[in-house]
Amino acid sequence: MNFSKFFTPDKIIEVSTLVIIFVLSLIVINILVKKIRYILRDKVSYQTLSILNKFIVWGFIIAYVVGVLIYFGVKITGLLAVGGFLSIIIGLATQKVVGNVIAGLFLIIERPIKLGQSVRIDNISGFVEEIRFLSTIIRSFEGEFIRIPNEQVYTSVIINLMENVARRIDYLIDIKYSDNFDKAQEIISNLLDSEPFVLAVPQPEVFAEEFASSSVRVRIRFWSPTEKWYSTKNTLLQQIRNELERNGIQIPFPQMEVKIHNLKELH
Amino acid sequence: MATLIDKYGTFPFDWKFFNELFSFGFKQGLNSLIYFKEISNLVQSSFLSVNEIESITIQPSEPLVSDLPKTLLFLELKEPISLLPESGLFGYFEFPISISLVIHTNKKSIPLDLFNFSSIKFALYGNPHNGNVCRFWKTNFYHNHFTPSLFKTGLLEIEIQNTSNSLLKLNKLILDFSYIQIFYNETIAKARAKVKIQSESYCETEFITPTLTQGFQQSLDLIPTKILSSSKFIMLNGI
Repeated sequence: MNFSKFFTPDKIIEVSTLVIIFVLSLIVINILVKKIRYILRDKVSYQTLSILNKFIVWGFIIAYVVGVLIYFGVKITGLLAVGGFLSIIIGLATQKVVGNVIAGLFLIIERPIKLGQSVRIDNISGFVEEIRFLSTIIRSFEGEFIRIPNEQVYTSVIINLMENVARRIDYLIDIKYSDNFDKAQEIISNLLDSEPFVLAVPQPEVFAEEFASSSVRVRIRFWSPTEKWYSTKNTLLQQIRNELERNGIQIPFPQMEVKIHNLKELH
Repeated sequence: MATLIDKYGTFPFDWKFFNELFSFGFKQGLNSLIYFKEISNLVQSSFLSVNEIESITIQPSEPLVSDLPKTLLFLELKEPISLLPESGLFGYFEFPISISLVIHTNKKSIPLDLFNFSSIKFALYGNPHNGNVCRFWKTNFYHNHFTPSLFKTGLLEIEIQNTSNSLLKLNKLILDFSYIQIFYNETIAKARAKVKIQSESYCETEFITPTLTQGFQQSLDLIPTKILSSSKFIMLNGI
């Protein structure tokens, strides 16, 4: 191949101009994308904005490449035919990849998970960091980076811990038979009433669930706004224990009394 | 010296302000002022990007809670109101308010801080998936004008209309306080709302401009007015 014939000074100038136009256009597109992000920041979710940005940038790149090819006289119809044939081959060879892309699209359309939400997918729990074309990135609660192929995300049971506006909290505590149950119930109810993030409606419930061998099992059930669920769940149990203890009501631990009638028989 | 805050309104600048519920003030830093506040023996301070304040305003504001900024108000009636078919009623409810501290510089007025002295509670209206978490308040229905608690509650003038052909029992109201207009004088904060009940499962509520009386002025809105959205809230999950 005679490169000197192709790389004439005119051609070099032409190609350089196209590269400069491409780089400058990309800078302009990036500024435009940032502006769009800024204008729509309160109106459109972060996830939708990210997807919109990717479409704008990649849409421009593809359009530019096609334009350059047309400029150099490459016949697009022929290219499309070759492209079609190639895509069949690539499609067959990369079914999994295509499956992941399609699953990614469905995830974006159906939106069972959103960026920033805490979710459980199969046995993986964490925050949704990013939904890419091929995979979903989860940051586990322990801070690990987890990549799950989109097809697996889409076909798995997803438990979204933040999709609903409120979640229930259940505690099961034991109190001694000798302690006053009504008093314990009143103490716990007052505590739930005074806590801002225990919802007033649905009304909290405190009731005896079971008469166990050495204690009365008390069920405490209430709802909390999803944003405050975790902190409320963690702090309130400790407060209940402290308040019961302050009022002389003890949470018993299992005890077993062993009576030996004839010690001699054991020897 | 310190200025006692015993009413709503504008006060000339002082280094310290106080009342039985809270105290706050300013200190001179190297290049700017330092704002500090003390509530229930808890002291917090922050630097301000201004070095001169002309005056401050203590005003009643939307019942926003900074820890959980929800904009719906759930008013539960201590006793239900029975509304005869195609009838109306006018009365008063009590509603929680927050107190905002607005500073005035020579250029503009800026809301600096928000205080809540009324008890904070939330409730769920509807189901956990499609429902709303709202600021919760229990109130009586009053036929006559009453004086709400200073710095804690406001007076809500309410017009209720039952446009249905049946007797309806009103137990609760949900109102979107992003659209509330609070007016105040030295001791009273008030707002107005109207309620149109079409059935047990369809009721429209809306904050409207209260009756203007002499000496009342409008509070500075903390929640920016939403454009192209309705100020009405439709209660579809029961009244």
